[in-house]
Amino acid sequence: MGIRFKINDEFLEFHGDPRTSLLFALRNTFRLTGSKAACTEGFCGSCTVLIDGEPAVACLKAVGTLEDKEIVTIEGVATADRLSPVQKAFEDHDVVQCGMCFPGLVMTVTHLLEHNPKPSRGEVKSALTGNLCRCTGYERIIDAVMAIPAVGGQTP
Amino acid sequence: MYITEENRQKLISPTNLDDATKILTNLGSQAQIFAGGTWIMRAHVRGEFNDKVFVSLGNIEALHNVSLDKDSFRIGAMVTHHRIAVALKEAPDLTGLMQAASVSANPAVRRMATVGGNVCSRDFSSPDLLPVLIASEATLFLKSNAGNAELSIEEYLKTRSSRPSGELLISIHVPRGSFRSTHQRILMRQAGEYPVANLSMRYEVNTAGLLENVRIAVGSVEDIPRRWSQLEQGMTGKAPSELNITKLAQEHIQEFTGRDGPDAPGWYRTRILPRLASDAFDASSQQKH
Repeated sequence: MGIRFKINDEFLEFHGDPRTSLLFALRNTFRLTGSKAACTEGFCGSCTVLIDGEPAVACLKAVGTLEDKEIVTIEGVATADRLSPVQKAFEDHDVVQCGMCFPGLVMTVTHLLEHNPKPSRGEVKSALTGNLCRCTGYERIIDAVMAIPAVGGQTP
Repeated sequence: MYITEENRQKLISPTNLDDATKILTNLGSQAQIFAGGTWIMRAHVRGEFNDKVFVSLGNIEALHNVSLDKDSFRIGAMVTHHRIAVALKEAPDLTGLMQAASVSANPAVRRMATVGGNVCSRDFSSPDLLPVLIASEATLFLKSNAGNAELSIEEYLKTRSSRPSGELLISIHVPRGSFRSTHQRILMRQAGEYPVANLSMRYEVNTAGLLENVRIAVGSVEDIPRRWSQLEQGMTGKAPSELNITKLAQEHIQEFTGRDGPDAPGWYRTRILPRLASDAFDASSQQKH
């Protein structure tokens, strides 16, 4: 028996070194490469996933501490044929450029909107403090979030 | 497929304090206490290789307790920064602690990093909780196979590098009172990283309108956060209106020797301290008790 957990509604087991980071387990063992390995020290947020519903940077989580946890990655926020509202807003507003940061941004915003469905622009900025983007200058990302119909905006 | 026994033994998760202290004592220097993981999991970035056995404290329920009553705030060692911030929304005398817990690192790390990790990580020079716990006169409760110990946080820091093998931090108690408190920090960016310098200030204003029980702690400037005793003495017994806190701080800046680091040189860390002291005093002066 390995270390058991649920990833994107699928029961999986990890059989390697339990000190391995969740990020490298996701990418190298389970081939879920949507979570990006950018800084690998918890600052950039590009590997953000949800663990039991809470955002966490996968690079700083040891797999051995995740027994029986429920993990959602960028691959699990939507179905194959339908984007989540956050993903759709990002696409509609042409948010994605190099693509390293946006999986983490989507996960952070998804969690924010679950707990605060109508955030202010300032609250969106605060929530994204730990998600670095080196391409867009952030404003377009905030515009996209504020334009999500459930938040009160209109998607073009 | 099965996990090998060798791999299984690389991360152990005891479920109670007695088991944890026994495991830590038996493993000795081979044990690596694992709390939130936000320092240890970055070892590779610092060029460190860590092949120790991780003893994870996450499954010990007693370490996750947090309680606030009229006399004290009690924090289990595994309580995260995020939970501290949430717990202190209605505790104006502990504003400094709430502020520090609300701004450290970034939101995802605040949900993982623990108060115990902040206190016990020997090589982490930029914790936000440690200065505010020093300024707040926090007391630590520890457990080892030799028994229980109760220490002020300052006493603990003096002996941190030589604590008994297998010792665990159980909880931290912060006294409450008619305090004004604040935590200020300066970063290279606006948010989302560790501070170049931080400063926590706590004091009371007595019935004559004079400052007393002044405690100020500075972090990130030297290797280990500590009190700014000369500034404390300079403020004690003064009326807030007669204080020029920036000038006073500049007069006592030589009490610190800034450490050089990749984020900032030592001289810069000390030079910004008067500004931090001024901001802290302004912010605390606006608090009402």
